[in-house]
Amino acid sequence: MKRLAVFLSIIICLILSVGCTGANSPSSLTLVCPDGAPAISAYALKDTKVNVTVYPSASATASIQKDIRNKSADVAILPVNLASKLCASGADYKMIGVLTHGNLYGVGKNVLDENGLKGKTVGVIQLNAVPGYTVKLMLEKMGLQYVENKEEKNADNVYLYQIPADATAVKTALDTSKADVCIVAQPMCDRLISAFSLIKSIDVQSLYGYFPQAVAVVKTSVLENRKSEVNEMIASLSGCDYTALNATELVNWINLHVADGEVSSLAPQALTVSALEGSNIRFSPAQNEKSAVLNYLTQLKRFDTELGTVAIAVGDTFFWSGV
Amino acid sequence: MKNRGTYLTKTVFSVIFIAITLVVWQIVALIVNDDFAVPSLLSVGADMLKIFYVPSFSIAYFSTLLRAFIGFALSFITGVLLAVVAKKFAFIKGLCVPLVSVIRLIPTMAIASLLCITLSPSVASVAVCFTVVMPYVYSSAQAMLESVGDELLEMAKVYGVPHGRVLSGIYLPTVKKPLVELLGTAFSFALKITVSSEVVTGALKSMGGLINTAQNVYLSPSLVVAVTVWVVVTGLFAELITHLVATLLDKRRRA
Repeated sequence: MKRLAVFLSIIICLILSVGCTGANSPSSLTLVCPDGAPAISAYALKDTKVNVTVYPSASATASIQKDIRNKSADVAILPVNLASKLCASGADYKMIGVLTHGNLYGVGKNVLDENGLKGKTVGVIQLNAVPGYTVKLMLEKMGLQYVENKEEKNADNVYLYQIPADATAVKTALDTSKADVCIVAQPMCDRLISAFSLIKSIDVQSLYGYFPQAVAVVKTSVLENRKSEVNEMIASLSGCDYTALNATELVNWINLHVADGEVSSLAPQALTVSALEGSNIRFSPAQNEKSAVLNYLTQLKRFDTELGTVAIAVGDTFFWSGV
Repeated sequence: MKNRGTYLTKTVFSVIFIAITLVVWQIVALIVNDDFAVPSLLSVGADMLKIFYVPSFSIAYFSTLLRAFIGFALSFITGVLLAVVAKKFAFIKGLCVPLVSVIRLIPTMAIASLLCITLSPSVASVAVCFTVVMPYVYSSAQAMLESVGDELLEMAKVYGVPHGRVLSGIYLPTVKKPLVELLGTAFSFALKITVSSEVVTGALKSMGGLINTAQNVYLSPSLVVAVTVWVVVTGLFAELITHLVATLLDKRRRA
């Protein structure tokens, strides 16, 4: 009986000690983000106590949505329209800043002439999501009409179609002249250019103008009660020079944090200085980005349909003023 | 009279099954009390009605239906022809065994991912549908042909019955009903595979595309379920129609 009591005591002590020293101890903040540029932005927190989870792109929206609704994540990095839909009221989460500032580029085989995109076929990753909506806004700003039905394509408009976010698919589309230009995100853009001798023919950010792509939101209770940790996190994000990262270390770190033992889609050879520069990753506080966010969300709302909304108009309470 | 009783029993069981499913669904929705985890019957029903009147839904619905039909038609014709040829020539049958097995074993999503590199999402969805449904049709058709009595065929051969008479007098009466039923099950299977591959290949004007957008842009699980229920209802309708036709054929044969 005595032996049994000692044995049970040891087991309980072991369980308690594992519980106390585990990565998910109550003292560490939890951050969730999708793979890609947002995961690169989270690398700035590698020396902090923040517990980072990177979700593979395919499941990221559903996983982050679940974490925010359950309030199981203290911090989340997510596309701005998704943030507006999940945290519009600012009651549970507030936006603390913008982390990625547009990373969409067009790659092709030829330099575009003075007529630019008129009469061209453009492949776009995620045509029915933020990248596609931004390309459409860019074309409207350039005074170009776009169509999504091949039959309506003519010499005066731009035909848009969806391409998979896959290097081989982009190369095949350009090789077979299925597309004149393909709009992809960094760092895939530079990878395509270096691997297949393609040309960067469009900078969506230059043609459309600046837009906030991924933002960081933090739980309101954390902002109120754990100010020092939030400040430490913001200091790390603000102080990081994302263009001077060691690509191998970066990818190894991200791989350690991908959910369910998966690996990141990022490859060290793709993360050149140019690719990291083009990813436009830097922390910019919410108050500085307020008008840009409001303007971009208003533009995105034009793509709302009878079936659903792309973005939701947010008020002042959405933005955190403490930074 | 006995047949009428059987059909009535089947219908009653189907209605009971649907009612139980709906009740369990609503109970789970009430317990979870989170429309994002388990959408309630009310919100799904509302979305089903709402999307019915939206033009983009009609375009997506009929585009998917067309892709599914093309995939189904190609699969059905190829599968049945292959089964007939395999029945006639043992050599072809021998070749078909590994071919169909390999096609059946290739992961659907891998085919979809590979095909959408070179083909448009629409064509890729049809091709994926074909690779999955054709082996199913072939196996079913082969089993039907095998069920035709060898003694009867032997007798026809001995008495020199013409091929046309063998086909109409021996094969057709045996395979008519299961073949018509196979039309329904193969079509609903084709529809299911087409929608799944549309999700993977990113076909925009499609039910799969709607599911993608509802899930990742509109963040509306009830819309995802509503679109899915429309797919299920369409598949069930196709199966019901072919079942009725098969039953009628059976009745006529017995009369």
